[in-house]
Amino acid sequence: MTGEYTCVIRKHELTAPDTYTLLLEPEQEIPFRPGQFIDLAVPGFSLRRPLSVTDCEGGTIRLTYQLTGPGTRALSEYSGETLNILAPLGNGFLLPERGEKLLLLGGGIGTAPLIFLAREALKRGCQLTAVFGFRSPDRTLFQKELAGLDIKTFLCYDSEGENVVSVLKKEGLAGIPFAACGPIAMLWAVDEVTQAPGQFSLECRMGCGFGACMGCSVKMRSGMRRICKDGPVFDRKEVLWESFR
Amino acid sequence: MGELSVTLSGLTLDNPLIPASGTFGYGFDHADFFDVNEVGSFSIKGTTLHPRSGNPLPRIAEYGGGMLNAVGLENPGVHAVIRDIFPALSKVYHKKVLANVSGFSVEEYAKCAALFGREEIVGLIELNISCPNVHGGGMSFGTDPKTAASVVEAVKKVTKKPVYVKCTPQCPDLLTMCRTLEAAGADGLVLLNTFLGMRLDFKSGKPILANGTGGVSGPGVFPLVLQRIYEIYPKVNIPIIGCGGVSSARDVIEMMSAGAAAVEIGTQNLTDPLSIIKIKHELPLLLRELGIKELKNITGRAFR
Ligand SMILES: Cc1cc2nc3c(=O)[nH]c(=O)nc-3n(C[C@H](O)[C@H](O)[C@H](O)COP(=O)(O)OP(=O)(O)OC[C@H]3O[C@@H](n4cnc5c(N)ncnc54)[C@H](O)[C@@H]3O)c2cc1C
Ligand SMILES: Cc1cc2nc3c(=O)[nH]c(=O)nc-3n(C[C@H](O)[C@H](O)[C@H](O)COP(=O)(O)O)c2cc1C
Ligand code: FES
Repeated sequence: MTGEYTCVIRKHELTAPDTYTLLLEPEQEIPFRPGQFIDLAVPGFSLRRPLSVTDCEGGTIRLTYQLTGPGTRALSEYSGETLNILAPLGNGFLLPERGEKLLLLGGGIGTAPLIFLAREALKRGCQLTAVFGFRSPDRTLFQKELAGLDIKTFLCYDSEGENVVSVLKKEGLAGIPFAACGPIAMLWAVDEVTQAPGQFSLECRMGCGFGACMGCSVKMRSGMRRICKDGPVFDRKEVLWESFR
Repeated sequence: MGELSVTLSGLTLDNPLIPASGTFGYGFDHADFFDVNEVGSFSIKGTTLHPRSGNPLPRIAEYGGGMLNAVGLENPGVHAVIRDIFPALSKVYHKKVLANVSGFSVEEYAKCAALFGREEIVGLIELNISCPNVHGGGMSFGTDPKTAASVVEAVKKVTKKPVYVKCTPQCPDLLTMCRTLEAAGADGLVLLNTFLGMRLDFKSGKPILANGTGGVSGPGVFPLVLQRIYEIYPKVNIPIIGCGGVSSARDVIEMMSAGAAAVEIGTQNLTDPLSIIKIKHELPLLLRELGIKELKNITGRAFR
């Protein structure tokens, strides 16, 4: 059930440069689908911060967040024992059918929701390939975790002149159904070079995160859609990139 | 009725808590969190005669006291609201709504209000003459008392439902505005809509909102709105719905003490979707603490 939950902080630590892992245990188990998110109240800030679920195991929610501005900075310094969230929010990824192929395209912190998707897709016996791009090797996320999973993985770095799109082309992956999350410029470029069915997880500044304020409503091919409630995951055929310029 | 009940121009609400327009959609989204029949009533998203797609993203920014929005009155238009939304809403919600109406001409306000006026679910019409986020309309009606009065007169002619006018703090002489609206036949006032404001991005130095400016709301505006209500209440004889920055049961008591007959709650519904429920549970405890039997008796307490 969508609701407000108080969560006990089980772990909260720096796991990569500017990137924290936060483990939350809600008072009762919340059923999540990959691609869904939570809206976290950061004490002292008016608006909640949307964070996608990196994984959810045995009721514990794993979040991975990057220092972006004052809100995430304050969160990283938070010393309380509990945090308040709204969850589960958003539609989530459409899961592939048993045995199907799926390409995971992640840029930077946008790789976070793809971990949960990867684990669920593997449970369904899907064949996974991941292309994860970061600014530089020291900023790589989830490297060990991916190595432990049955996923063909390509890591690429801006600092080495490669990115998700260039690898996608070079490795001939543009025909595999994909799920992508990352900076808008990357997603747009992915849309231009791929031919297969695909899903994009989008983000924008949100007022509520649960559909009430129209603060995230944006023009899509089928009309106005709320990123928080009709998304954040959209079929590639839906997205009008001009809306995100 | 119970200890929390209030009456607005003949419309009795079992509690004075009204989610403000634009922060409660058409009721369906908060229904994911609680039984929306718990509210006293709610104000629907600002609706216009024709559908509007609103402003580009980003539409939302934040400040220490709350938020800014520049949604730009995105709504499906009055016909779709009546045809599609009200029938679906009446399956889950059994009280009345405030039909928040916006327009770009006197005729548009009147047409829209006339259509809403025929709807069973509409308890009263709330004329939004105060939206800061649309160009060439909305707010210009809110700053000139004569134009505002012509909207009220035109709307009063086409509906028997009570007509409340939601004013803007951008009006240079709010007292004259409110008195003019009363003289024009307004049944009540809603004080206030958002304050015009803006934020710049730290890195680029450019406006965060695609619209440039937006409407400021949330706890930071509470004392500003309270002062206006305190100023206007003794000088008009129509009910005032207080709106702006209410985030707790104590705020409700304070705003009613200044003269509000009921309160609208906006931003707090977004940051805490269950806030109305929490406030509703706390109000009776505060009344007991104050030794007051009925909440409605505290309206204008500051002046007794
Ligand atoms: C559905 C969704 C899932 C997300 N998942 C993650 C995640 O797993 N890990 C992660 O690190 N980040 C994620 N983000 C982005 C994250 O919400 C922002 O980085 C964060 O809100 C920034 O807050 P701040 O105060 O540090 O930055 P500031 O820039 O100071 O924030 C100011 C305001 O802008 C909003 N804002 C700023 N950047 C973004 C952004 N990129 N997206 C949405 N709102 C923004 C903030 O919420 C706040 O209201 C997600 C965003 C969305 C919409
Ligand atoms: C996201 C958002 C959308 C709004 N949309 C409308 C609207 O369509 N019509 C209207 O009259 N007021 C609108 N408002 C103003 C609110 O109804 C309310 O007057 C204002 O937010 C002040 O109250 P608050 O401080 O409790 O939020 C909107 C406010 C917000 C935050
Ligand atoms: S953020 Fe409020 S509707 Fe999406």
